[in-house]
Amino acid sequence: MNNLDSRILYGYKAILKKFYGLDLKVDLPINLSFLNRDNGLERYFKFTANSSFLDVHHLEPLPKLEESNIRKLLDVKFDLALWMEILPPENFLFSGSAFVTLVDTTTEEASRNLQFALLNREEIFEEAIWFETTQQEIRNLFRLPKIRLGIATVQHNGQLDFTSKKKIWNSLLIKELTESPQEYIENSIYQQVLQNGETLIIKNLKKEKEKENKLAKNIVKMGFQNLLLTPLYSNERIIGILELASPSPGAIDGLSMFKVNQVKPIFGYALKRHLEEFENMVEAEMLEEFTTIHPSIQWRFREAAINKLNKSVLDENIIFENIYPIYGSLDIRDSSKKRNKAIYLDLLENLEFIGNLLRKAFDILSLDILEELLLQVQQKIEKLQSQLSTEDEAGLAEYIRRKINPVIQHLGERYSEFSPMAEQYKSRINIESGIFGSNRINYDVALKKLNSSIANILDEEEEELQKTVPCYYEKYLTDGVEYNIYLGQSIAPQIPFDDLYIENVRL
Amino acid sequence: MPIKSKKTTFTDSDIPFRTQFCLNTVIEKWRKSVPPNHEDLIYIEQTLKTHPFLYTPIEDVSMLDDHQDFLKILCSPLLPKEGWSSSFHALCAPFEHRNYAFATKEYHEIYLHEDVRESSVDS
Repeated sequence: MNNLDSRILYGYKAILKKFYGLDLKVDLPINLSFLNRDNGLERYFKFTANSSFLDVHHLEPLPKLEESNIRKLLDVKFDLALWMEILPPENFLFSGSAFVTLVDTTTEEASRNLQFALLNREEIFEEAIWFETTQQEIRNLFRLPKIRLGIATVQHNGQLDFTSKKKIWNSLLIKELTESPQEYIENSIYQQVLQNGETLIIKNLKKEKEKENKLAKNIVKMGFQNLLLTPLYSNERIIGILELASPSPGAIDGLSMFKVNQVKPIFGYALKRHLEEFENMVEAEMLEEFTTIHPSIQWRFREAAINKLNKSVLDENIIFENIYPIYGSLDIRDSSKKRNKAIYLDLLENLEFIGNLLRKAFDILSLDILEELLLQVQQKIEKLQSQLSTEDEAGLAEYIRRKINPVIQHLGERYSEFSPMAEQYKSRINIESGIFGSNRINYDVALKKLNSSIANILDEEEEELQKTVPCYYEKYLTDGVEYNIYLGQSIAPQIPFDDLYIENVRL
Repeated sequence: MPIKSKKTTFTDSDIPFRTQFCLNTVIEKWRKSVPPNHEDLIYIEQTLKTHPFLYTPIEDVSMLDDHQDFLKILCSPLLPKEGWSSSFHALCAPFEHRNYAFATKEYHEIYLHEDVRESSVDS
């Protein structure tokens, strides 16, 4: 219902009250907005009128208002044509004067519009239009036509994000910098806000900060002299910095904080939502594009994923330059020998068990083949005791699996007196290898336990190392443990690197 | 300094009711609420004697251009104290807000500029 309809409704409300004794409970606010084409600012007002100096007269005999008509008027959505048909307006004269008051509601309306724009991002597809709308409402709110809005987002590592090319959710001021943003940020006013977690207002950048801060100098060069930076929080963590910049010194001051505090929660909430959505997108992209990545270099792959999402760089090569490789290996002395010994013992025990079983079988059954097999087994035991090669190991295992095991199985099944011995034999056979394996299994378990303890110690050491100097780390478990460490400035650009850390790791 | 409205006649045909702008209801309120010897009421009565049309229906608000002091006194009980707050008030014809007989400086200024656009906002 537009303002005109609202005024007509108020007219009919007065008519019904005076002539029909019906007091309509209707309170329809009339809001107006005024756009100043000179400065582009919009102001919002609520329209109220004191009607105690107005009177209404009927110029024709009053139409009879049936109960059914009243119900029709009130039951349906305000239907002006129906009202005018039942109560012809030209039959009524409003006489007197109205004392009109406009209540400035710019702060409330601009905040409400901001809230709508920020929380209904998906309804405005064109990002530039969305940003302009948001910025315009900020300008309306502060009544500063040249104020500039920006939001610097903070990554999980607490660093400002420079990678996004988006118009909003990125610092406009930082984005305009031509050189490396990181260089500008160190010891800057932005860093101050991140460290202190408090709002910073610089009334006159040129006077106050230009000389001491490169970033401030650049902002002045961009045409801004007045800057407000205020941290945006989510769960007590800074997730962004709201930036307001003005070309006029002192335009934004301490009093502006009343309005800033009004809109900060909206920006904080919207930014949190945006960051969550954005993180989901980046994670999905990383999962699709890359395999598991060590945490120390995830940031770079994340950057690549963001670049791809922004379509700024597609399929880029990820290179870490000037890094120092360090290799380490922890081996168990004579581990191969010990492993062979375990295998030897398994085979020996296996063959001896077979020998005893065959001997017993031959004594009872007197089958020549059993004597022949017994002879073969005894020869193999003798050979095994003299030496064991890998070839012997494989051949013996194959011999037991193919030639002996079926015989023992047959004897156990065919002759009940052999059943217990055959069952005992079967219980000692390893299902996978088909031969005795308890010694080797014990060896493997012991080796695994030892390696696992070493790996845990290395992981703990790595955790400590990462705190001092982020580095790429990978380890391999063989008979022992081997690891590679890569150190260098390019792994963690935000932390100053020194050769000292290489020496430290070597020690 | 009297403040004059730009548009002088009531031609807002969008309002389907008949309307008639007159000050008599405000004047009667003065007469009922204030003792006859009140300085402002004396001024009002004297003005009415010399300009009786002020009590009759007014077709063209430009007729009130020379009577801004009279209107200011007439509206004074409804206006905030001068200098205390800057607010937007006007004395208008029924259903009007664009076309006014008297307005505060702030109200006048937002309607005065041709570069001001008015638009409705649904609530």
